[in-house]
Amino acid sequence: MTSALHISANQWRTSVLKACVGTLVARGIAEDIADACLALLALQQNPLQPLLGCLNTFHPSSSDVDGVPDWPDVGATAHLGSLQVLKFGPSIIDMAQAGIVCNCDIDSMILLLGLAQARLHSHDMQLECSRDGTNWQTIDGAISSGNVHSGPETCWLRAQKAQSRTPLNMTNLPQPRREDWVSLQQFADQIMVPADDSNRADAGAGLTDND
Amino acid sequence: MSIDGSVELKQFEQVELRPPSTVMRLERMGSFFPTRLSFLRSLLRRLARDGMGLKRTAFKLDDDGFGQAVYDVMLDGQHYALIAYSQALAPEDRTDRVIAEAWDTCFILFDGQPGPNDISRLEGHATQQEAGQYDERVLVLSRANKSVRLFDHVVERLADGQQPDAEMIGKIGYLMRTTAVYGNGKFGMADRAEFMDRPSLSQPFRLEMLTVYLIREFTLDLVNHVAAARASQNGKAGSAELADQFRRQLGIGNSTGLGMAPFLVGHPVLINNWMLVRETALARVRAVETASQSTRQEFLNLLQQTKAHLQQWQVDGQFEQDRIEKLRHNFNEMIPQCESLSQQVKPWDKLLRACEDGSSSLQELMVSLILEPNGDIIDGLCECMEDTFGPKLDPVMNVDEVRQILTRHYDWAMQIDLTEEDQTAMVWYVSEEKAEPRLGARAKDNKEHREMPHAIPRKVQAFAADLQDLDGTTLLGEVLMRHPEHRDIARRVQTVSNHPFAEIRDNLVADNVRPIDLLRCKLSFFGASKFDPRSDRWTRITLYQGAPTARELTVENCGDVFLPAFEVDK
Repeated sequence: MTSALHISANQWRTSVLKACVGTLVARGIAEDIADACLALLALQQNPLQPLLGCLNTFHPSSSDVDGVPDWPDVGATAHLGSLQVLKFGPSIIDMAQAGIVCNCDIDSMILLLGLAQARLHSHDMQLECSRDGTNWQTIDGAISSGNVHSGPETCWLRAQKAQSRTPLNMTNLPQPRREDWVSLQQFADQIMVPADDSNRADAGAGLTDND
Repeated sequence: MSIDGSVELKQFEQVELRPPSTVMRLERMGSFFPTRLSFLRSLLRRLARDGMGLKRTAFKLDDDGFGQAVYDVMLDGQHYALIAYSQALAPEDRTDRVIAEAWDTCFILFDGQPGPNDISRLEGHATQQEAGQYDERVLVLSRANKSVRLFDHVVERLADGQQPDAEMIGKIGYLMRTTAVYGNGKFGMADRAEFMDRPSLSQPFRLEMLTVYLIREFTLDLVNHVAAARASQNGKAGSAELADQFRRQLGIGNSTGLGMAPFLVGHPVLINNWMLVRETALARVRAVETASQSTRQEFLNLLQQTKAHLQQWQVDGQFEQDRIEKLRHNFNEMIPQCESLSQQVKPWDKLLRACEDGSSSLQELMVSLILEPNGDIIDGLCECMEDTFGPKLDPVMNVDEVRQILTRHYDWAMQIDLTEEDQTAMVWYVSEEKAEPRLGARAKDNKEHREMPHAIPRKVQAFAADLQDLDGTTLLGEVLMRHPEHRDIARRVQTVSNHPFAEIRDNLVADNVRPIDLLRCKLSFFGASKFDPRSDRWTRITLYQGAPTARELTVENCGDVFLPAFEVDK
């Protein structure tokens, strides 16, 4: 029996997606967060602890229209204030992709950079990030530097010249700690409907099938 | 290839594609038959062309057929091994439901040549299936149950020195049924991306189809082995070997339920590519000016084979049996016309047009039939069925452009009256029992907040409503910042604009939805035949029935798999 945990890229993606949806993150954002985690894994960064931190503090009911940042004109700088990555992370990247320089205090900079990195792999574009709006670096450079904390940080993002997309290298991915993986599964399990005789029949098959 | 090594792109004439509004309807998709583009067909061609060097490297089974066996094949210089674990199973534990916890046989497709430690290490996991733990050297995980009725019959006959009953072989068609074939990173196995660069494996479900083909080889060896042991126990000098004609008539059964249905909704680009290849192949064939003598003769032979197949295709369900009988009648009536039209100019186009007033089943049967003798102009399309990028969102598109896509591709969804209760009567959800997808009544209990994202018309209408009063120059990104709940459907809508066959154009949560149509569509791309629905959510099928076994597979006979039909001696 193998004892070491081996989590494939497919398992990472589906488990993160389910965990986010189970926590009532909007599905489209959950899809982006799942891709962000794969982008981080491809750079040998384990996204699980920052993600669990965000899931633990996510409250969907606190979302309201008044908290939504304004969308400025292309070329302007947007000072977005304090934002949760599970609510606005993909929109911040959208904004940067549209040519707006974004400045925000984000609850997980590493996940935001993961979102940016994933976007580079799906679109022909380049993004840069900065902590102070002055010293800019590439997204993968920032992620790989190991200097990005899992907690809140100030982040600047801007688009740079177009760049051809390259596929993610999904071999030899970092493996999670077993207890973290179990925690993620507990979030993911919230999408499941408990089994009973009534919904067992919803599968439309008999309980035995010999011939 | 040209003389300087560059690729020459051969151009083929083609007529206009059938529109998605015709093709992507559930009723039609539920009428699909396998074609020569199906995954098992392209695998057989590849195996025949390149060889597979099948070797049985271990066969440690007791007299009852319980133990382990290993089959080694080589593709592109790389070894792959099917490890089979066969065990005793009480009849009351034998169920094809995904919620089963024990099976007659369990299988692993291993990347490379497994050592004794690998084989014994993996046994405890493979026999637990979903509860086991795997790594990147495990490519596919599967399990199968015996058709006890047929397996016992074949053993008894062979042990007695006789061949089995031909009618029984033809009617059941398999010694074992798989109840799941898992791949692509499930349970820690290798991700598909890890072997996509191996030329033999670049097509969808290639390893899964290879696994099933090797399982078939194992079942044939197993039944001979058990029969020989039984003959010895009975004091006989020896048993009969299962004759080649019967080996070929035995495929592998499969029992499939709702687990397969969400795949078609969840992989829009992949489904587009499958459909687009099928429709492009059809458009090429319809453009052919005249059929050569040999092509026409092949078609005429296929007509007779199809007639025999339909005659032998019997199921227990009355609804499906009525459908088969109607198809059988209509097809037989058409045969003289087919013989005549195949001699005319644009024969294949005329043949399809001749079916236009018939049922979807008749039309789709004709699609499979006219593709079959035209491999030289369509087989290359099989290389275009993969999806390497998936859906993506363009937040810089403006609202006017999004509205245009909705008008062009989602008119069908916008026209559905969602205030009618029957249009939202059902809900797709995932049970905690082995994460099995299920379909239940929305009103029955509180599942709505756990609903799977299959209510496409409802999502589209909600998205369109929130776009309605916006300035047309507003960027989609700005809309999604205010309405993050639309992010998934916005991505889907944009994807469909470039992939017109990506969306099933029916309401999957209406009270009249028949999930079996989704199952049949997907299974037809696998190459399944003899659809035998046990309800509107669950079907049995056969794979590889009539296909050459490994020891007889050649370039000449690898295509001889179209809709199995057998002569039955009574």
